[in-house]
Amino acid sequence: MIDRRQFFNAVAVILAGVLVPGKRLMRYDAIGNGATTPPTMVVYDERIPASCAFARSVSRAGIRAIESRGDVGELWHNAMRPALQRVPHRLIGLTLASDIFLLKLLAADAGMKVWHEVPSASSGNLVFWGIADKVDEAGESLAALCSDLLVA
Amino acid sequence: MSRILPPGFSEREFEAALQRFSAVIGKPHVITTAADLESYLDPFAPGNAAAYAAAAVRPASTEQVQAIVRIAQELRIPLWTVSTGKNLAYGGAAPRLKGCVVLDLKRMNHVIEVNEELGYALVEPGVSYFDLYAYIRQQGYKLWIDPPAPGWGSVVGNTLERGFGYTPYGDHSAMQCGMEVVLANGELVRTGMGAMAGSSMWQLYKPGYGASYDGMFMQSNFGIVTKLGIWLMPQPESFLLCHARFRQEADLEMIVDTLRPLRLDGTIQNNAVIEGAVRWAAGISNRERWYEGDGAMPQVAIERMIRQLDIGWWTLRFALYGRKEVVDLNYRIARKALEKIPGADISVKRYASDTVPAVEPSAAGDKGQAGIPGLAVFQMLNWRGGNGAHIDFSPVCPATGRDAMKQYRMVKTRAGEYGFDYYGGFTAGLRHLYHIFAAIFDRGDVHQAEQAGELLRVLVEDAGKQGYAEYRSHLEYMDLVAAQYDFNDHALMRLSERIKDALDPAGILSPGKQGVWPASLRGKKT
Ligand SMILES: Cc1cc2nc3c(=O)[nH]c(=O)nc-3n(C[C@H](O)[C@H](O)[C@H](O)COP(=O)(O)OP(=O)(O)OC[C@H]3O[C@@H](n4cnc5c(N)ncnc54)[C@H](O)[C@@H]3O)c2cc1C
Repeated sequence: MIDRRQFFNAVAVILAGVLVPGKRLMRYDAIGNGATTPPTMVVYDERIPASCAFARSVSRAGIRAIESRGDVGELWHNAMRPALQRVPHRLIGLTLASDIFLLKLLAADAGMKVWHEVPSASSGNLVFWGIADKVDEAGESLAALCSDLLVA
Repeated sequence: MSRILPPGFSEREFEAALQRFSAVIGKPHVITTAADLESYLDPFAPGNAAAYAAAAVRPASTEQVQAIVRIAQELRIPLWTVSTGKNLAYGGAAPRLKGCVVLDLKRMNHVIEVNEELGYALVEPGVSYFDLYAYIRQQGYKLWIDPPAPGWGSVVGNTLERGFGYTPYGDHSAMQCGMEVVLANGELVRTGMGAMAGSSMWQLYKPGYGASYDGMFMQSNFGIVTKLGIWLMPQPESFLLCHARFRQEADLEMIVDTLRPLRLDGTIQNNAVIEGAVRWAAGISNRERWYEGDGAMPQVAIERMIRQLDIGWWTLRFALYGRKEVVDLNYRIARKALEKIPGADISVKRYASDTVPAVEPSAAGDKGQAGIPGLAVFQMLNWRGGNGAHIDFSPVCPATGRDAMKQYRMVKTRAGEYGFDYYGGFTAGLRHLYHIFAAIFDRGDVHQAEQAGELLRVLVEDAGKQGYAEYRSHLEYMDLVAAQYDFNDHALMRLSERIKDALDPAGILSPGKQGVWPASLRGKKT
């Protein structure tokens, strides 16, 4: 069972380093009783230190981390799509903007929706994002997850 | 926002039409909500992405396509056909005419046949390069596919657009053999040997008997292709990937003149690529690392970038395939020729196809030359930061150094005036080069997006004045590009229009595709 508090706090610490100014990160304690369900898969780019650190923290909470190896197309076709066919999924990632652009279209073809994208202000064109299957409990909780972490 | 309707339709009439489509393909496959229709916006529109699709229909079989076409014909509803709709940089899945119903064939995704002995596949339009690759791997066939740089596109869609890849089978329209086509009246036709009901040669001999029509359905709006045969390369015993870096901007001329004879005599069999420095750098870095000012990167910044990344002004990628002795011999010949260019720096990697597990190239451009699909090429979207997009200018160029240099200078200068870096290169056919320049912009910056659009227009006109034209274009410029083909007062366009009128008198198939409009809309050209 994933420790929600641990998850939120770890993710918040990592994201604090890369997200847009003007967005404040909330720690789990401050979210109160947020009904957010943690995601099922985190995508990261092994070439980018912030992305690796993010994935490390998230995977410590028991979430499967998968690396893009510089090609989310291959990742999608070889690893993500087969996994997504079996169970409902909530994906998050901290990757290059081009990767989420591609994943959005691939996910839309597979009937999934993009729920949240937060660009980074730091150099490198990083984006924090979440994708879920559809407008259901899981999807909403993913949206909540992203917005819980960020308060404008 | 008011609902988009086919020209001349009321809401009620269109609703009734949609119900008829639903009766054929099922309601879930008739797409009507604004949110779902977002898939039919051009994500790389040069300016605001205007919504043009009135709806989309996603049939699952040829029979369903025929039924939809018959309804569209009866009701005069314009259809815009896409296979996987990933035609990014040229318009994506968006229609040319506002009010079209997109005929989206992605659900027709069967690999109908792969023949290992004779080296071909017969596929439906929804089969992507990733799909065909996975199918061949699963079956263990010793065949290669030839993907374009983005592997998510359709084998049918890309081939019909005369797209290209990077193995010896890189000229896709030349490797096509046999088509099944639904005509505007709903009739089903097979081309070449497929015209003979009992023939086993549909994917083996392209012409058939009498006039040959395959080319007529490429980049055209004369029919809807529902099956297509494509030749596949037998897996080579070994292959070698070569990068040759060149130090000077002016080397382009010698590179092209050195490459041409090697392509023509078959020493280099694949679509070799000459990549400019920014194109190479965009695969491994971002622009802000080299230059943060406005406008195109100045020459000094480019030179600093080249030095620090230790890349060439130009890098030639090519590959050699076949038996090891043949590959080695061809490599010695190619190397000797390329070394005559002062400062050439040549590196090479060898692969054997039969190693288990297979050792495969990992860099994006290298994979394409080894028949492995990917999407890593999209890394270039990060070059300018923000929400990267690009629109491409793709003139064909004679395979001579002087023409390549002339086109390069022309495009680089104009791009600079509009604030764009020269992100480009040349892919070498036998006697021609595909010169591909991408104007990369941030979708979030309306001014930049509009400038990219304006630049493209000017480039088409500039090129036209010099006797050059694009082999393919974005939706926005289809009329303008078609207008450059002006021999005998646009006789070719008149021929196309006569064929259009004969085959599709109601003008329902992809109006405006490649500048060919049905009679009823000819006055309304943009
Ligand atoms: C970064 C980048 C790199 C690229 N590199 C390459 C490259 O290396 N080589 C290359 O060739 N392209 C390249 N492209 C362009 C483009 O992405 C590909 O050509 C892609 O394969 C086209 O999309 P598609 O296959 O989904 O075709 P679709 O979008 O499905 O079809 C393209 C067009 O063909 C016609 N068409 C499609 N299906 C049918 C049908 N069944 N019947 C009749 N007409 C039909 C329609 O007019 C349609 O608009 C690149 C694009 C980008 C963004």
